[in-house]
Amino acid sequence: MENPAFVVLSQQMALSKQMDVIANNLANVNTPAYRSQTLLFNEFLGKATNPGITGAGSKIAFVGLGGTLPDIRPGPVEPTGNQLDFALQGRGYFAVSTPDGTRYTRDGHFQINGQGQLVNAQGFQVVDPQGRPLTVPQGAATIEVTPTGTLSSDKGPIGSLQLVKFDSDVAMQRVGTDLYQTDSPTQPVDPTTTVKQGMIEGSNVQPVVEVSRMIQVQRAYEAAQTMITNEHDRDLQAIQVLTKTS
Amino acid sequence: MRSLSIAATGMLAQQLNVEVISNNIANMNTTAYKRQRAEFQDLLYQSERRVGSQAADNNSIVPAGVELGLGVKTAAVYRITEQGNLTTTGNQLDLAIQGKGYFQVTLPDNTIAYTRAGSFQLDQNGNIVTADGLKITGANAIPSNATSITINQSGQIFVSQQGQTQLAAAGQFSLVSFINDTGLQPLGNNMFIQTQASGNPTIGTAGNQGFGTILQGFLESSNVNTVQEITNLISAQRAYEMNSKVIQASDEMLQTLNNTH
Repeated sequence: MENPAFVVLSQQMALSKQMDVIANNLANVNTPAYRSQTLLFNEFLGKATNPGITGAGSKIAFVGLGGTLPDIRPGPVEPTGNQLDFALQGRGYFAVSTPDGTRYTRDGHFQINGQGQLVNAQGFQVVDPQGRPLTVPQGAATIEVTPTGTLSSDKGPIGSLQLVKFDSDVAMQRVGTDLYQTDSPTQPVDPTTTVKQGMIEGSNVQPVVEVSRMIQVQRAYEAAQTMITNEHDRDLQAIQVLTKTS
Repeated sequence: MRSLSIAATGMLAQQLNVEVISNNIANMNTTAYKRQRAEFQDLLYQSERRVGSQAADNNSIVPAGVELGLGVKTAAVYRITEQGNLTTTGNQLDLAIQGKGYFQVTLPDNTIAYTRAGSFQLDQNGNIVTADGLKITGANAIPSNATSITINQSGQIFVSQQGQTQLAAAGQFSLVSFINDTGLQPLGNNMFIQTQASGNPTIGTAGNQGFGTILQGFLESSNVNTVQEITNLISAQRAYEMNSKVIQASDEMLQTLNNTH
């Protein structure tokens, strides 16, 4: 008897999650290398509560959460003029060493710490293919990078950036602060993937798309609420009519 | 409704962005001012359904989990150390550095600060000082009978004196460079001090490898590009509005619930 209301409730819960995803996209409209997310719904079949019905119609479809899919198109590359800003053109990630293990990022806004090591904005070491930190020689004034990620300074070579790609960019787990984590094995990047110095990759959030999606979600949520209200009225009417005794 | 608090982080971030932009515009005529840029990062994610977990009994693996982000935070506000345009002033104590490097200034507590703003003056003892009266490292006192001061591209200072044909040397400006200029801490008054992030200063001579040249009679203008700042301001304002729309929409969604019955 309550089934329609529960189906609509499952939709409302999914829509409110989608609203969270849209809010996060819009909050990160200026975050470097941020990849916008979309929430995928899937059908969740539950058993109908009406006994005696078998075969077709015996199950009801609820709305479930399928997954958050990132939009893996690259963001616009913006020049910053900072020699320690790197943008990756093509598929791939930089590797940084964190206390929890190696994490991957496309946000190439790097700095140098007190030991002369190349670090990201949180101070985690950016590592070379062997997982070692990259140390800039004392007193170096300029740093150059080749398209393949080899760093050198006016005081001598520094090393290479570890550039990796994975089978699936979609399956990367986000850990916040522009870092990603994955269990899948690393692969060397394609030769077409290049490092650009003095540039930062922007966020690929398309505000127009997000705002129109937001309106859609809001209206769907309201429609679902109307459905619940109507269903409630129908129940009430049924009770009133069926319990009339005169 | 997490979207309310997520959008609030977005509004806070854009507010900071507008503050940075307004500081850039306010300093568009400040000598050797370097424009700043706010950098943002996404906040933590909550995994509602983990990537790679088993989806069903048939060993199928979830290809993409449900990861709900919690908004945005400010990672850094950093300077963009592009060269500013050089403007001619004709003043013999106006110096511009073309390329990398900073002048060293001795602060009242005897620590060294660094500046690229070369609008210098003479104090009552003939010392070359900044607009705030702080001494520049490398320059000797200029004799009181000096008629003109010449500074060459390497920062060597020569004075011509009344009744003498030979120019007299009066010291040389040394420049310092940092591996990570962005890591310098601004003190205000166009000055910076070194930090752990900037690394130690490398002292050298103007014109040598890794250092710029000194130009007399020029000043480095700020590298603020007003057109770019205004477009950034517009996009920051619209981003702020969009985040407030999210709050409004979330609020209306909650209202829908309250308005029934």
